[in-house]
Amino acid sequence: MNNISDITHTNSPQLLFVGENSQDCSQFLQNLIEENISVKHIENSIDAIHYISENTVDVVLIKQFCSPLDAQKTLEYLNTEQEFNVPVLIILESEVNVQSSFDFRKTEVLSKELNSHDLKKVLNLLVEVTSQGYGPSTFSLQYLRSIGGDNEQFLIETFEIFKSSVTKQLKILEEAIKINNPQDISGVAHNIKPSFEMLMNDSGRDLCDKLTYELNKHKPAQILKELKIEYSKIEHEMALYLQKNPT
Amino acid sequence: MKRILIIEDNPMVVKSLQFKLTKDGYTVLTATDGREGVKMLEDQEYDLIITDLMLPFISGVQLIEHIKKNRADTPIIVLSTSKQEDIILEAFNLGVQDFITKPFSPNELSLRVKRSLESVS
Repeated sequence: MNNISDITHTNSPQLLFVGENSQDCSQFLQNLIEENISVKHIENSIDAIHYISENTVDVVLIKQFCSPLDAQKTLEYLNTEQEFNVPVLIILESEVNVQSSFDFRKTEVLSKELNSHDLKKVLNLLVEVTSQGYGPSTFSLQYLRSIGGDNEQFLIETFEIFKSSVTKQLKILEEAIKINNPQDISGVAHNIKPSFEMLMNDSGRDLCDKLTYELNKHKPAQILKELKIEYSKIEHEMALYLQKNPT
Repeated sequence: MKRILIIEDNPMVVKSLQFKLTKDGYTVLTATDGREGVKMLEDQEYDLIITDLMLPFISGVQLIEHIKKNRADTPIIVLSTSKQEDIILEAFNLGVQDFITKPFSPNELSLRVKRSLESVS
């Protein structure tokens, strides 16, 4: 965990992670950092309370059994003593139903596994709490505008098609990589590529090209991982766009 | 109204082609793989076919051979990527009228479609 402590991006949302041992969620935090989110890590919950009183934090991610105060006690203290109103995400470390314990304030719970749904939960929450987008844009609407003009319905439908079709194809790609089927890997990557190109996302395009034409020079699983991250970034920015431009 | 059949397996490309060509005044029908494309060609007449070269079930080249055998007069435009030179050449040898690189330029698409349709009228 030490290598991802206190990663700060200029003008990006601030996430405070509170927990003693974050080894098991280091990948999750790394994914957040790659989403251009600044992550501050404090192991001790008392230190976290002090930090919150003196700094701006957009979201708190806290482990249920952090110490010396656990998540519930930490939040109770913040709520009563500091009129703390920042959204909180609790990483559950027990199967016991603890949701009701946290009902007194706006909280969300994340599973112990910290899967992709949890990542989405955090990103969606950050969309809610930050009024503006952050980080460099991962896609441009220039190409789609050249086809659809100002037709917002066309854009929205195209976003939906992007999300549903690329999600489906990434699953197929994952299976093809699992069984090491080069023909299917290159075929699926070839099929996905125009979707990224039409959003003018060069990273996605290049990753697809690597899987289509240079498979033997790369580790497909690693490329797939990068492609999934690129997809998540686009999906996240699409959500921001739709929030800012409701039809 | 001229009828165009698009055979392409990327839904975003299909959506964009359909939107642009409908706006240009054509009736546009779509198939998402070679097999569905063949079925639609058997069922109805089309003035132009726009097809991808890498399709599920039946490849673009096989599809072109099928069209040339059964509907020799129907013009074909192939959709390709810039890295498919060999397949594009093969497609031209089979008698396709033109090709468009994905992602397509909307104005270029309009011009090439118009030209292909005029070539047989």
